[in-house]
Amino acid sequence: MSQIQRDLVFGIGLLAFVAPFYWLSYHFTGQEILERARDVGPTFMPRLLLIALAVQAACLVALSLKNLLGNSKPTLAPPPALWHLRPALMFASFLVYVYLATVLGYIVSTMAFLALSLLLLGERKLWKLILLPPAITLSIYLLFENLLEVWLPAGIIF
Amino acid sequence: MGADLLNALGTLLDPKVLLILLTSVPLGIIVGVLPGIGATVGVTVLLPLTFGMEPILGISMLVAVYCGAFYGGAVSAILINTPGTPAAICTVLDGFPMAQKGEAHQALSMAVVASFLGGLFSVFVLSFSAPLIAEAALRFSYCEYFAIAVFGIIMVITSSSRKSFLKGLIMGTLGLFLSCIGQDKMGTVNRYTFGILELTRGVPLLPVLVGLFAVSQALILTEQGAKKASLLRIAGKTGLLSTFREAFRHKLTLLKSSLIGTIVGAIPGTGAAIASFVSYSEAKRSSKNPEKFGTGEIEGVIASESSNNAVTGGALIPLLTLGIPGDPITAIMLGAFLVHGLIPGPSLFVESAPLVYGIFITMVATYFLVLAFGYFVAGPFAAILKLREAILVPIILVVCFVGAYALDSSLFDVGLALIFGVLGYFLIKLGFPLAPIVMGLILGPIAEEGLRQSLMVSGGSWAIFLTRPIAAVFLGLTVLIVLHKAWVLLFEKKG
Repeated sequence: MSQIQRDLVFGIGLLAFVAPFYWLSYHFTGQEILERARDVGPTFMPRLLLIALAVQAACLVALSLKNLLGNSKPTLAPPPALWHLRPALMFASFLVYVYLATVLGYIVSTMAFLALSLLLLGERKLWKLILLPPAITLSIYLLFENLLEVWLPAGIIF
Repeated sequence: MGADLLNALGTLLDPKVLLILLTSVPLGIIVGVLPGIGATVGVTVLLPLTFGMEPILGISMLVAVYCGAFYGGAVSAILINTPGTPAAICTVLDGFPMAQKGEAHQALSMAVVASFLGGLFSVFVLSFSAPLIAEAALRFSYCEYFAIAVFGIIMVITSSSRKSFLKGLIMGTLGLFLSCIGQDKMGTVNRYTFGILELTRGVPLLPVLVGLFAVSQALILTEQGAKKASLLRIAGKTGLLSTFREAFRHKLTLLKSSLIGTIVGAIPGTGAAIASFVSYSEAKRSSKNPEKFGTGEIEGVIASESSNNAVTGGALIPLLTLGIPGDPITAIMLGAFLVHGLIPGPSLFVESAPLVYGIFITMVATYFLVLAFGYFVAGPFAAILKLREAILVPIILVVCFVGAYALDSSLFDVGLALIFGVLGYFLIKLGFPLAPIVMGLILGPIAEEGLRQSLMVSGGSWAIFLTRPIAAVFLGLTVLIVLHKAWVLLFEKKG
C-alpha cells in the first residue's frame, strides 16, 4: 500500500471514529443540568474538537484522493513482506510477559521474557543468553524494590 | 531572588543530591550516545525511577539526564557520523570530518567545552529571567492561558510536522480530544469514560508517554535488527585548558549560539535541532572562512554544541513559569512534577521556591559534571556505541512495564501504555508526528478551562480575546501560522 493510500485509509478511519463520539456527547450522564445553564458546558470542547477532527480528516481524504488520481505511481516502495514480523512477535511476547508477571510474579516472568527477546533479536551467544536475563532482572528488581521502594508485581513464585 | 539562590546552594551539600547527579549525568550521556534512544526515550524510561524519591532528587535526576543526553549526542555524531540525538545533527557536519582527519579527541573536547559553556549560559538566563516572568504571569487571566496553550500546541505541530502540517494538526487535535476524556474539571459530568473507573481521572499522562515514546521506539528498533556501528578511534589528545582557550578564541560565535539556543529553547515547539541549525547557519554566515564549514571546522562544532545545550535552560523557562512544556522532554518533566504533587507555573515560585532554585543550582552542578565526565571518560562512553539492539530493546520494554505499573500498581496503566505503544508505532509508520498528541493531552485542560471560563465571563463573546493584548498577540500569531500553512498546502504544494 502506498503512502497516499495509507493516508486515505487513515482519513476514512478517522471520520468513522469521529461520528460515534459526536453522538456519544449527547449522552453524558448528568449533563442536562449543566447544559441548561450554559452553552459552554462539558460538551462544548469535545464537540468543537470532533468537528475540527472531522474537517481535518475530510481534508486528508480529499488531498489523498487528489494525489491518488493525479499520480498513478505509488510514492513509497512496497515494504518487504516480513518487515512487521519481528515487531509483531516482540509485541506479542511483551503482552504474554505482562500477563505472566501478574500470575508468576516479576522475577520469573522477566527472566523468561528477556531470554526469549534476546533469541528473537538474533542473540546466539550462549553465555549472554544464560547470564544476561538474571543479571538484568535482578538489577532492576533491586533498584526499584530496595533502593527506590517502588513495588513490582508479586505472583505465585516471587 | 539572590537570597533564594544562596539558600539553594545548600542543596549541593546533600550527599543524596550529589550521588544522584553523579549517577544521572553518565546515564544521560549514555542515552544521548545511543542513536535511536536519545533524550526523550531516556528520560521517559528513567522517569519511573523518580517515583520513590524526594521531589528535588527526582527532578534533579531528570534534569541531569536531559543535560547529559544533549552532550552525549555529540559523541556518536563525531565518532560514527550519526547524531545520537536530533540536537547534534549539525555537530556531524564538522565533528565527523575532524574525526576522519585524526582529530576526534579535539572535536570531542570542544563539544564538551561548548556544551558546558552554552549550558551554563542558559542556566544563568533561566535563573534570572524565570522569577521575573513568573511574577508577570501571576497576573495572567484565563484568556492568556488559553492563548498561550493554543500557541504552544501550534508551535509544536509546526516544528514536528515538517512533511505534513495537516498530519500534525490531526495529532494535536486528537491529543486535545484525549484530554476531554474523564470527569469534567468544571463540573461532575463523566465524558467518554464508558463506566471505567480509572478513566474518571482522565487519560493518565505517564502510560501515554511510556507507550508513545518508549514502547513504540523499542518496536522500531526491533524492526531494524542487530547493527554494529563502525567506530572511529579517539585520536589526537588535547588538553582541557587549551580547548577552553580555543573556544574563547571564537567567543562571538559562542555567545551568539548560546543566546540563540536559549531563546529558541524558550519558544514552545522549537527545540534543540532548530537551535543548532540556526546557530550553525549564523556561524557560517558570519565566518571569515565559510567555505571551511562542513570540512572539519571547529567553529561549526562550537556553534552546534553550545546552542543545543543552551536549549536546556531555555526550555525550562515556559515549563517552570507558565506550566507549559515546549517539547516532549519538558512534557515528561511536567509529568515528574505532577507525580510529586507539584504544579509548575507562577505559583511554584511562591509555594516551592527552595525547590525551583535548587533545580537551578543542580543544573549548574550538572554542567560541571558533564564537563568532567565528557572530557575524562569519553572513551568508555564511545564504547557503548557497540551495544546492540538485541540487548537494549528488552531492557527498554521491561523498564516500560515497570514504569507504567509502578506509579499506581495498576495493570490498567500498563494496558494503556501497550495501546499507545502500538498506536505510536503505526503512527510513526504512517508519517504522523507523536509530539503534538502529548502536547494536546497536557495543554488540553489548560486550553479548555481558559476557553470556557473566558466565554462564560464574556457571555459567550469571542471578542474577549481581542480585549487582552497578550492573548490577542498569541492568538493572532497562531492564526497567522495556520493560514500560512493552509496557503502552502492549497496553493504551493504540487502533487
